[in-house]
Amino acid sequence: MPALVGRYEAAGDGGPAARAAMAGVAAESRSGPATWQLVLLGMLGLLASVAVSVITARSDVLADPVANAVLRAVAVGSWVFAGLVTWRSKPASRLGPLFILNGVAFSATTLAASSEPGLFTAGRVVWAFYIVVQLYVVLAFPEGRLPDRASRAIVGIFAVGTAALWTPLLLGGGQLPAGGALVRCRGECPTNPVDALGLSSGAADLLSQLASTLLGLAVVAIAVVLARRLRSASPASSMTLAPSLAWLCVAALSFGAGALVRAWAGDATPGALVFSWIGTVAAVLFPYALLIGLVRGRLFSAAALRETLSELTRHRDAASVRDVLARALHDPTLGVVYWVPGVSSYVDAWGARVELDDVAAGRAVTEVSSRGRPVAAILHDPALDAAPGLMRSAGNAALLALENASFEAELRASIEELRVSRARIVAAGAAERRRLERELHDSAQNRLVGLQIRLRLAQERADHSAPEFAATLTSLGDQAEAAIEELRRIAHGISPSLLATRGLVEALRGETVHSGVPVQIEADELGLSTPEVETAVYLCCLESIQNAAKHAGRGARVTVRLRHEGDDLAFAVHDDGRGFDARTVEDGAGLTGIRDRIAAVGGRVDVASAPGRGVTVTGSVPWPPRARA
Amino acid sequence: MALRVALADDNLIVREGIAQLLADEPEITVIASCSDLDSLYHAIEEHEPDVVVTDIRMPPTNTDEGIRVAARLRTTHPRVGVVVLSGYAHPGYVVALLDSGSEGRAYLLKERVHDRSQLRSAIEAVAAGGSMMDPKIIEPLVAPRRSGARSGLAELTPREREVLGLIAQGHSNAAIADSLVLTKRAVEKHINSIFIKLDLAGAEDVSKRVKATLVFLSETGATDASVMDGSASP
Repeated sequence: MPALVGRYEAAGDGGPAARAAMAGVAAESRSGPATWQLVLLGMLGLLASVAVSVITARSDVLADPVANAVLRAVAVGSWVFAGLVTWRSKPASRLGPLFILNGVAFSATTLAASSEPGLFTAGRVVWAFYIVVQLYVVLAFPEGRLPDRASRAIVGIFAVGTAALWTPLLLGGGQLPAGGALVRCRGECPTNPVDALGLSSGAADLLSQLASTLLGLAVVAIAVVLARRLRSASPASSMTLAPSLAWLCVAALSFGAGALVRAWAGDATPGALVFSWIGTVAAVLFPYALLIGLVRGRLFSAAALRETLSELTRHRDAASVRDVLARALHDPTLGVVYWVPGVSSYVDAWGARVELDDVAAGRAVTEVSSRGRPVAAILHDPALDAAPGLMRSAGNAALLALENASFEAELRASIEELRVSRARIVAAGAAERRRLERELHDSAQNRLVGLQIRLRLAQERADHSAPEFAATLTSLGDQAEAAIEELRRIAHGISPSLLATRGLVEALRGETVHSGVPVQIEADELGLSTPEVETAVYLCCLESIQNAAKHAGRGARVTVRLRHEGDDLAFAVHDDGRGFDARTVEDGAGLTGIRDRIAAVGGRVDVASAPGRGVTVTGSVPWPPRARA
Repeated sequence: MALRVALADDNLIVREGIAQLLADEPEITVIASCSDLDSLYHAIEEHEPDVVVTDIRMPPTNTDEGIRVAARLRTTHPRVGVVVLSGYAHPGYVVALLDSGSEGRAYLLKERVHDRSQLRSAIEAVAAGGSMMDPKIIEPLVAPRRSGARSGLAELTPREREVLGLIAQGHSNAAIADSLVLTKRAVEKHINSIFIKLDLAGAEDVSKRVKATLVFLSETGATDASVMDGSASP
């Protein structure tokens, strides 16, 4: 049974921090709570919920005590319940504990049910704190931390603003700001026992209005942030986030609207009350929206795994594996790289070596291993990690296919390695030939020319005094000339210098001037490429032209076409001569050599012919621009 | 007055050898002897020579400095003749040299240099605005066509000869039309007729002009090293 060592399996030992960071996912190494701890917390939550409802129902301060009691009990219970479920399914996330903290803070606001002024005031202060926590939770969903600067700014400004407005109110006495349906007093609220500043009621009203306005603005800002997040969410994460974010938007909007109406129309107006209750009910039910999202996420995972499995039974080849995973996981950017032990590196499906750090930028990485040996790594949308265990299961489901694909990639990697080394050898050969050619010209040929001139000068001097000696010198001079010609012929065969200095088209043009068959060259502005590529194409075209001159017959014409096709150079040499039957004639040594040369620079070449239809040699090579010397 | 020659070759033996050869020529004075492209340019600026005799390949790049000198002098010093000495018998270099016109240009293989009459002829030809191409390069181009009698040059009408002379000097069709007071259409007709008579009709377009030029030079220029200056210009 193949074992899978992935990010998740390693999650228990606290080791994955580096790998998670590499994958662009925040390191989460907190271990989860034990079941008995969760049960204990659940029981405490239930107890708190009951206590809250009893205290609220019996309150002689709060308005609508029964409705208030029901909602408070539901809110506390729901937060704790949602917190426990989340904590259990995502033990590494601090979302669960945050929800539970939310429930605890909410319970403490029930102090406001007391008619004792000190306790009531404490309850209201906790309520203000609870609102801050709640905004934090809303913005921190689902990562469990504030993900961007906007949300940090909103929470920070709101927390500081609340403290700034509440401090003078708490010290200044009189009434505290209105707090929405759940903390509305039936009659007059108990007055603040502290009265150090003695604020006028006008000043206190202004501060209260500002507090409500601040909340309203914060909620509107949050709605904007959430809407933006939902819009840019990947298919996988919006599956999880959509219900909760939509729900949050409804709650946030009504809550914000309620706060604004309250600030400018008054606390007890019908409009303020309606918005207040809608917002309250929505806020109380928010934990369920989150749970629906989690369920949808699981349904998504199940569907994705089902699709992966059923598709992979049909396609097992390398190219399909990636496509199947991308389709099943709704992540079109998903990529797979394969581990090749021979080169101790990952390669892509084409066998090209890749650095995991480079290709994984901004992606999450799930490594798939078999018997402790790495097989492949899936690079995917970090949002897919939100669905617990999804990537591990998908990797497991695809393991067999990934192993197949990995062998395929390994094979391609060795072919690529071979191609690169062959290209290196060809390039080294081309460079060496050019060096030799230059040496022959610059050194040997010039020496002979110098010798020739001296022989001539000597011969002129000897002409009158020793005619026989002069004749010998002349014949030596002729031999030097023959040597120069011989040398030139050899040098040109080694490497045509025109190619190095003036590029492919002019070199070909120069050859065709005396090729013995009319040659028409049609060429784009090609620019210079690397010597080995130019030499390969040059020799291929030249060989084809020479073949045409030899075999095409009298009156034949040759057309050479050279043009860019993307980053490649496409070439074609066509003659309208007598042609041959391509099925019966095998490649000669010349053509085989040409094929090898073109293949060594990563190109291909085809020969097509039929009797009476001429011969067409077509091919293309990658055409990298020559680096400036 | 003797012709003033600037000499450039990065090979000391060759440079000194040529200088010695030319020292015996009463009609020629070597006024500068350079070993690379930059010093040659300096010498030209300083001494304003009549003729530059230059190696095709020199530092700094050791590729085709001689041909670049010829192209540049065409605009900066149009009256300076250039003899390119080359180890390459490849017609492609001649094609490149003639890119900027054949007037005042010669292409001489290095093994000709010891034959002082060849070297002197080339220097005198370019000084007079004429041109000379090494027969060793031109012969293989025109030899196959000579199997009958002549290359076809003899069949040209006087007007066609004039047009070919201008082609050989690197003039465009439009420039030829201007200088002969013909329509462009008429010039094209003449050129087509020239190509047919020289048996070049099927050749590739750019090399067609060059080949025609070479045929022309091979018979009017290189064979007797005579000067083709102005014979066709108004």
